[in-house]
Amino acid sequence: MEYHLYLVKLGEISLKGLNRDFFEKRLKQNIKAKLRPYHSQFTSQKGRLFIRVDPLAPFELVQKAITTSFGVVGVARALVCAKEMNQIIETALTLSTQGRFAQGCRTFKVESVRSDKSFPLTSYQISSTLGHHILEAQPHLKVDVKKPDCTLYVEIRDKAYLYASFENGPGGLPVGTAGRALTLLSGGIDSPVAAYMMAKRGLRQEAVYFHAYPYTSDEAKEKVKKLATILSPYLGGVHLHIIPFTNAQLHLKANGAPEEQTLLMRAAMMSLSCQLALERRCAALVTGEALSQVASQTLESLAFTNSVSNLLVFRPLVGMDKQEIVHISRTIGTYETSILPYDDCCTIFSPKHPLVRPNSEKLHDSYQKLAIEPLLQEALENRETVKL
Amino acid sequence: MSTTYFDWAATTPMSSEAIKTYNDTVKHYSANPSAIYESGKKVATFLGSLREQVAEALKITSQQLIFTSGATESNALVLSSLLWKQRKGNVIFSSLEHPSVSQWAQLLTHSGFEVRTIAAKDGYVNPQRLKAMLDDQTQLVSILLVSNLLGTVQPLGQIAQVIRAFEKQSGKKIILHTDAVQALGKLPFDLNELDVDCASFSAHKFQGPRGVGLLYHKGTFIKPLSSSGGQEQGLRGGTENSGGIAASATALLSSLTDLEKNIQQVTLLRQRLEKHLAQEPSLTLFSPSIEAGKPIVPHILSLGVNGIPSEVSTRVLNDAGFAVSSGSACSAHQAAQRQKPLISTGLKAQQASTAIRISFGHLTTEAQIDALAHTLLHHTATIQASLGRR
Repeated sequence: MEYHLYLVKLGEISLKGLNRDFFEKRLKQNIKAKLRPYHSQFTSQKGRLFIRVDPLAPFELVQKAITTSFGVVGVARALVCAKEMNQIIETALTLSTQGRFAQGCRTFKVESVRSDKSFPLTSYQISSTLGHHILEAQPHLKVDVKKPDCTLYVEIRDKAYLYASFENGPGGLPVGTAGRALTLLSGGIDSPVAAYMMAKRGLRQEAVYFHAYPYTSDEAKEKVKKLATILSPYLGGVHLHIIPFTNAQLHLKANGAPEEQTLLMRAAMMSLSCQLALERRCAALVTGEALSQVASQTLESLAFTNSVSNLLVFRPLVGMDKQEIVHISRTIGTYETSILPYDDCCTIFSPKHPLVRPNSEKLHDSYQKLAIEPLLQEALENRETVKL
Repeated sequence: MSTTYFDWAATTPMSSEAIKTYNDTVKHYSANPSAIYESGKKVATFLGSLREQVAEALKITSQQLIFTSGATESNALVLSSLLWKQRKGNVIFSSLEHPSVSQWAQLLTHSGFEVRTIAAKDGYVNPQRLKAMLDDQTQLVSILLVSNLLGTVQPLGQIAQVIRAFEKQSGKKIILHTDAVQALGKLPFDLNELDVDCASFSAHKFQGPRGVGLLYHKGTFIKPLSSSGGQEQGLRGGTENSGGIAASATALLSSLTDLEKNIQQVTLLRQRLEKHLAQEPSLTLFSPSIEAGKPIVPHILSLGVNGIPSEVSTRVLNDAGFAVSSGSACSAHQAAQRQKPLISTGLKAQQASTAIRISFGHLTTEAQIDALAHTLLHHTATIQASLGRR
């Protein structure tokens, strides 16, 4: 059985020093897990990962498995041959009839690199030789070294590797290399983007969603499940904890001052999340908060909710504006789901005039008086967990 | 858990007689009625007799009747006909109109019409206020006969009088259309006495099948939306839905025969329900009470649960085994649109956001009414208590 070869370009990982193996090993594990049940073999050379995959594996599946893996800068299906020009020419001619070359390509160039400096031709000589042969075989093509429709890449290493259709990867560091965190996932636009951003830095994540049925609908819960499902390939799988939050929410409504409702609710969510994080061996929380986006995200409000947490809280969107967040949301495919009209908080719990610049001491006092911890404990115990 | 159905204004269960008629018809009248061979002619004759029966039941002529796919299409046939007019002018809709009428405002405005909306204070259009909105540019007035949200019966006869008087004065024709889907089989009325130019109906509202509607029309202003084989006097192309039309005729005749008896029965159910609901102070009737003597249909009752978004009440009742309609949404951006008709009656937006609609029929039992009321009272009290309101 002849395996299909994929050449993966590594970014930040290749800059790592002695612990590069740790990152590469994790990346291999992450991709291998996504390719199951198909068999795959991994070898690495400086700045490159070569993956040989069972030819029965659908191309789209392999492509998605690799391009959703953080640590990958780009991937291409590659052909490999001996380091002899005749074979390299033959392989280049084969590639020039496939993929993008066969899809209306009119101009091309050849880019060559030699890791093996003992190869008799220079990079320039390799490129011009291959270009000449391709032009002879396909006279309708022209060379354009500035803005070609297609580029044929040649890498002379232990063998010669040739590829033409290159897909960008997400960059970053492999998930699982930066520890574990718990992400507060709502049905909105921001929190899925926050999860994506932190996964990009190698953080493995579990997610928590607060469900206040019947004040929020089952459709809202399904929406969050769908968002977690969309994120799952990037996160390398995700456990979603659904917290039955109705009793806590009603307790807040009945006992909290109207203008303090939102912040007290967020404090309760942070408190519960900290407990859940400890239980699930997560060392930090992740939220989708952006400074001053809404009343509960002003400096003073964030300082209050932050002070309830005894864990590090990552807020990767803190300095971003909504358009930037929306842009990433569209890119990763969560936007269309996020804007479905199933709100994660009923209007009944949203005060008309929420506090914008709360007094932290006073709010702490209000929070203590609520004596909500037993309800949070009960909610935590009654959670539903789904693996997506 | 089985669900007790309290959403008859949305759709009604198809009657067993209508189902039987449907089955018999599709079995025995399967040919295309436009065909010139014998079996086709047989279906054409059968359809002709159905048209006669329905027209006779509605006290109109068979030429004044078009079978459509439902009231949405009937409304569209009337309103799209305006687009052919050279002189654009204005049209007047009541604020209570169903979206299948009100959403035409966008296209009509885009096409050069001015769309005016007459508010329905306390659920009723005031004919004198309408009179003040008419001018010599008014092309069409569309007022539903029975509000699907409140069950209020509009003074269509008086409205027609105002319009006809204005026509005499201005010398220009004004088309009076009514979306009467919630009236047929629920309320005695005479299209000739109402003096409307066109009226829309839907069979599934009177225990007929989905996918069949009626359009009553006088005059020559209706233009086809789809022209094909010249069916329905050339006004609605497409092979006739013989089975659906036959089943609709059966359901209509049955509902009209039993009309008085059903109204009496449903009125008793309404009185019983209102009596139960009066026990809970945080429930507010948005529909007029049956005891107030105002013109209403008894089977539609809208009410608000103080401070509880309608979606929440609907979910709670659904979980307890009762299907009622939610008049609005928990989500603020959706609510604004869906609450408009209720707000136009004088309700505050906050009240309108709590509306639920209970609608029932002659098959509903007293025990079901009692169970619904008991559940509604229990849950309302529980929710109010859990929110610290009592």
